[in-house]
Amino acid sequence: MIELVFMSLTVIVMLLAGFPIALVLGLTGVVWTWAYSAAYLPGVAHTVMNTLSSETLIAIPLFILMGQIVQMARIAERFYEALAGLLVRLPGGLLHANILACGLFSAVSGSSIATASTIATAAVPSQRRFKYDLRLTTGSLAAGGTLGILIPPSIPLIVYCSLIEESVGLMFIAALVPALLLLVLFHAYVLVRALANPDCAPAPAATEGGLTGAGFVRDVLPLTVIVSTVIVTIYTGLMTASEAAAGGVAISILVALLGRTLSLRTLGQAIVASARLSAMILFIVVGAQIFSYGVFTWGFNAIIGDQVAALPWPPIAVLGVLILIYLVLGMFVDAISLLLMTVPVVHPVVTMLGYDPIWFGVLLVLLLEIGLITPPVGMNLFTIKAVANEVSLKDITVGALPFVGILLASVGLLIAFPALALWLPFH
Amino acid sequence: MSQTDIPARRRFGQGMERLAQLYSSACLVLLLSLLLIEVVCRTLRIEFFWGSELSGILMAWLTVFCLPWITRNRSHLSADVAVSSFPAGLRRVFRYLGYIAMLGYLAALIWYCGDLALKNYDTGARDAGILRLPLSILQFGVVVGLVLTFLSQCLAMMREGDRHELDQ
Repeated sequence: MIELVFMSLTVIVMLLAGFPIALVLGLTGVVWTWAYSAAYLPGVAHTVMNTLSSETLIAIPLFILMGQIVQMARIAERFYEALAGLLVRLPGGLLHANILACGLFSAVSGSSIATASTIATAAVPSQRRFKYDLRLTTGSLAAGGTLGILIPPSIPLIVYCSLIEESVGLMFIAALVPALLLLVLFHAYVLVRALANPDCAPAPAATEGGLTGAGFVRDVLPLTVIVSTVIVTIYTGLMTASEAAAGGVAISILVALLGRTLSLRTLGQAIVASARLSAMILFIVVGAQIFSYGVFTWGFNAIIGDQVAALPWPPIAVLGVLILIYLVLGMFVDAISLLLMTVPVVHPVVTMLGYDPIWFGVLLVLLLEIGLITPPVGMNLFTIKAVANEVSLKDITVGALPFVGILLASVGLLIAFPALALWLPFH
Repeated sequence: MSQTDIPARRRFGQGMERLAQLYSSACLVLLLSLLLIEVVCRTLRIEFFWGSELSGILMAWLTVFCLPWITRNRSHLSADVAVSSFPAGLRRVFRYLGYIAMLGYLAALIWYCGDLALKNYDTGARDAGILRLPLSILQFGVVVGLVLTFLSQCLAMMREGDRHELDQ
């Protein structure tokens, strides 16, 4: 047990020293494997090779490329503008457009930060012009951006599946209903706020808004087609996640070419940016797998499992403690890193308690979403701040707080009704 | 250290990273093309195994060949909340420690991955797939990428030293 404490300390000290997460996890794994027995070190090489060529992870670079193309070809921004024209008359008007556009774009980009920054760039100027409550505006954008890691195809869900060796397709389907529920709850909150205080989202002049049929085809349809193609092909089993990702890239390129918003130069930039982002994420995944190898070599997973089994607590209490730990860690560590650092240890515990790993994956991503909009390291808060520089970080944080409450409520609903995540994948 | 050493070293480092990155991007394009061809062939009921067989290799290469750029530009994810509040001198010490730790980590990976690749080359070990591709193809590529990353990290550490010297 003392070794487990020292291993945790190794991670904490290196994290505090500001070392890259990939290094923290990988080096801890190598050093602790060596400390157990140098004879096990060649296993590190097998771990590196197996991770880098993992079939599950192949979808990541392709989904990133799809998101980059949609972003660089301004498909997402045009979608937001069209949606804003359509929803501007509803109570809460453009705030609904914020959430819906974030939801749909996140389904393409798989990244919360890309979602928040892209939609915020298009949304903030018009909402400033219409004198919307900037706290609510920026809060809805920060929260809408969190949908990026839950709505399929989600990169954290793919990484989670690679760690626990589950089907990515099943995982994506499991995340669909909780993601839709969250979308509905976000919209309901905006609607209630706008009805209670119309000044927070004032209706624009009668000349503003509206969407023509041509505008719908040009601006709304492309993103909708891309997202639905990816989700439907995975859901129907027509394609694997990586094939659907490749198909999504092809359709994005086609749509962008038809809209004349993609040059060869832009496509090249999107490819290079995708390769960089993918390598950055996959290097961390490699580090996490080496870390897992160290954990398994020492048998820490079994030790923790035994300790948890010996606790005189019901499973729900242990789950409650895990949720608390995730909420606290989520304030300081970014989503993917937290997932990679904890899943090797937490997954055996959760399955031993009798919880379904797919259900836990969805729950985990909801918890990670909360971390994205809670200070001091709420990445989405910083992203929105970078776009809307005149709004203070405090105001953005306060604006995002009600959405934290909604996310916590979703966590509660998922625990009370596991079928929210588990019904669809098995029907 | 002569003044001409710095630009030459930087040019070498940047050139190497650019080439590696180009190769990595080419792997991504090839990966995309193979998967698309696979889908089309399956629809037309034509047998095509290269997509699933080669995608693992391409994915591994696309990752490792982009690492030199990532490590030199320090564009990894890191939790620098604590370290950013340290005084400048201490921050520099931690940055150097980070470089040394990364070099040690990469050296370990190169050593063990290189050993695995050589062993598989000697024994002629092959993939379990239909095409039975030699495992060493993927593995040597990974080792080359890791070596380039090691070099890039050395150059980045030297650059940090140069900057410190200039500051003084």
